[in-house]
Amino acid sequence: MYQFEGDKKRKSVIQLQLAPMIDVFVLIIVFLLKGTVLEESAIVLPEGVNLAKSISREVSQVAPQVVISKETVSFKMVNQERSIAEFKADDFNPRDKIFQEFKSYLLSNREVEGADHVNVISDSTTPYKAVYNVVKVLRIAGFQSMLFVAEGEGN
Amino acid sequence: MFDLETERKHTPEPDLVPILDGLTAVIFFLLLSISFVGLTKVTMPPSVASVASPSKETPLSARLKATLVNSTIKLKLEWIGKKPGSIRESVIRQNPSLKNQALIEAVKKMTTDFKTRYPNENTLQLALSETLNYQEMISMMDGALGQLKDIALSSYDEANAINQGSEE
Repeated sequence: MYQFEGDKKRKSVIQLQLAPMIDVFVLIIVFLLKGTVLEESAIVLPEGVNLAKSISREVSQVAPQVVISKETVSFKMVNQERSIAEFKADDFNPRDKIFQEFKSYLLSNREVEGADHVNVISDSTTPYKAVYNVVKVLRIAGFQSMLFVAEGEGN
Repeated sequence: MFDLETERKHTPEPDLVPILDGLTAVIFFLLLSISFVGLTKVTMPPSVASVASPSKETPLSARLKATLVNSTIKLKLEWIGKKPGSIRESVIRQNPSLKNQALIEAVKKMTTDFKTRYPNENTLQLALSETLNYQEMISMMDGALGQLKDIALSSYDEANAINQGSEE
């Protein structure tokens, strides 16, 4: 009798239980899908820009970006790039066509949260005069808040 | 005949395992979809007619100015109001592209001193001379933000005025 049962066991084929395995995988996929946070990509630094160092622990926010490098000022939200020399001078043309671009951008994004904020990303050696003049242009254009981006040290 | 009897006696049982699995998946989905919103209540007191005149106090308009003289960063925190005053500090400029800890500490000390005198004040205007750079602006903000939360940038012309003697 025992001999007979032993033979039966040896002959049984191991079957993979697909149903619970698929269920578990579905659970994992649902968990991962719901846990994903889809946001605009973080800041992409152009080559040659060294961020300033800061002891602040505040996290950067998603907002339109302005990148001030050693030679150019790039207004990412309107795809415009200008020479930094324009902002090192004392007077920026108040009738420059960039103001119209800013106005259109703000108008078309007025429902978007944080669209009137700007992440100012600058090289650490940029003179204050250029930074101030860029900020002044943005404020005149109608942007409400400037967020100065720096590299945190977690001090 | 024998087969028929066994079929009649056999009670059909639903396969519970996949049903439970499906339900668990649904419960997980619903649980993860929940977002908690904290509701708060603001009770407005009944309006009272006030006879008090609005405050006539002059705003403090605290301004922190920084200017570069040779290799020294001169700092001046000044304010107006009932009792106008100012605090001065000097810091040696180190590598301008690196964080200047001495500058952070100096600004922190000045703003702490100001905050102890005016605990309700939260605004600071920051003006740097045109020769100072973004890193130094960030360092000054780092020093000030612990005490004064609202920082606005002011023109470099104001900071330059320290050197021209009109601010002395």
